[in-house]
Amino acid sequence: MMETVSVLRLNQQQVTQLMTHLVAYRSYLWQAVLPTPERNQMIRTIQALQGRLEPLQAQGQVQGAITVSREEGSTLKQVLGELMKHYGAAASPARPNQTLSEIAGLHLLVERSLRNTQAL
Amino acid sequence: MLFFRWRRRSARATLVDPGAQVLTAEMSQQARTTRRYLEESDYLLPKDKEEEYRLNFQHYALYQAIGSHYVAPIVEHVRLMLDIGAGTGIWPMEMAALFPQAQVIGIDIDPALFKPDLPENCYLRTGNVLSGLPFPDALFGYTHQRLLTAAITAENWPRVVRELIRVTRPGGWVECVEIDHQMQNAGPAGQQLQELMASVGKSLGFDGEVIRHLGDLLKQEGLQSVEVQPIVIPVGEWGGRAGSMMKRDFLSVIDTLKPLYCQRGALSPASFDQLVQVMAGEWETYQARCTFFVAYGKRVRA
Repeated sequence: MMETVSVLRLNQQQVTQLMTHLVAYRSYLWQAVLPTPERNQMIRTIQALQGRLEPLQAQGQVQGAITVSREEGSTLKQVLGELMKHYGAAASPARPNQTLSEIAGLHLLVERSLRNTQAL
Repeated sequence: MLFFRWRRRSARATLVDPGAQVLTAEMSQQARTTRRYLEESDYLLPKDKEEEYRLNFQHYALYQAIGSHYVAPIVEHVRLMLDIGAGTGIWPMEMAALFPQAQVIGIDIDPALFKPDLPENCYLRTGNVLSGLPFPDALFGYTHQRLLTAAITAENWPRVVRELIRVTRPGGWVECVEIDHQMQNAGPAGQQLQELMASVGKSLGFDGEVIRHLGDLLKQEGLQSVEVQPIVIPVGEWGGRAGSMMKRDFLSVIDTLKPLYCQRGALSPASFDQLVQVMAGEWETYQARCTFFVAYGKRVRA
């Protein structure tokens, strides 16, 4: 069966931001959401993405790229979408707005990458 | 034998009821003949067929509850992994399947429970982290240790962490998974039993507070990017399949340690059973939760 992948190109700052938000979201799942197969699958997907992002973060390259499967891309969009709702609903001193902008930027990046899928 | 060591310790302790001593001797004798324990070890739990089933069941209970076999952001191409306190070897076997390009080694103080028929990239060996791991420095890309809280006394934790770091290569990850000694929403009977367990544990050199500071310990010993991830897990049918499995595992461990708690707490087996029964009901009523702490960090590159 042919799997479709997308290439997600990130600069160093975006790698760090994405890792931070994935860690935060995974932490939220573990602390606030009862275990279900769906929750656990999301955790494992986030885990796999972190494993690919970590070397980019460690290497400190200006630009990097990871491949994401259709499922991983969908999970990324879902995670970032839920984070945008969370920060968007919060009161708006400057810091949450900056976070919201970050997440919105990452969401857009992921969406664009997913439009350019390749078949393996 | 471990029970003989308990009895030597109890000779120094103040006994509440002389009758309890006789009862304890009988219980100890019965327990000694039915369960197998490690000699010359602090490890509180047995190492026998019944424990093999429990450990394997616990592994799946944890997977249901946590959703993953690991927490640290280990890379897909990690080459060499180590699991300390492998028990039956089920964790290294499943990691070997998840990471087919890696070699996964599990060590345990006692090989009696090791599973046969290992995957080609999985190896189980005898070893004791307290005596020094039988590996050279800076070898593993990922070093993992899970639920050795009943094997490592408080004074030994720093030494253990140093040893985990020693065998991890620069840039590799060290991960410790342990359970908090306090359950949330435990109920009155649960609270009473927790206090007994904590008191008994402390008398034997174990201190649950160490677990809450594992992250600090990893930092003190030089790891970077240290994170401590609390994972809250339901205990009881109310929590679905994961909660149900965790309840069963907890009750199994408590039952295994019953002779110890009865002896040290001067409780009759019947009183203990009653307390446990009430506690198990409270888990449902109060929606009890336990917290696992996963502390992980990266060894600094040279």
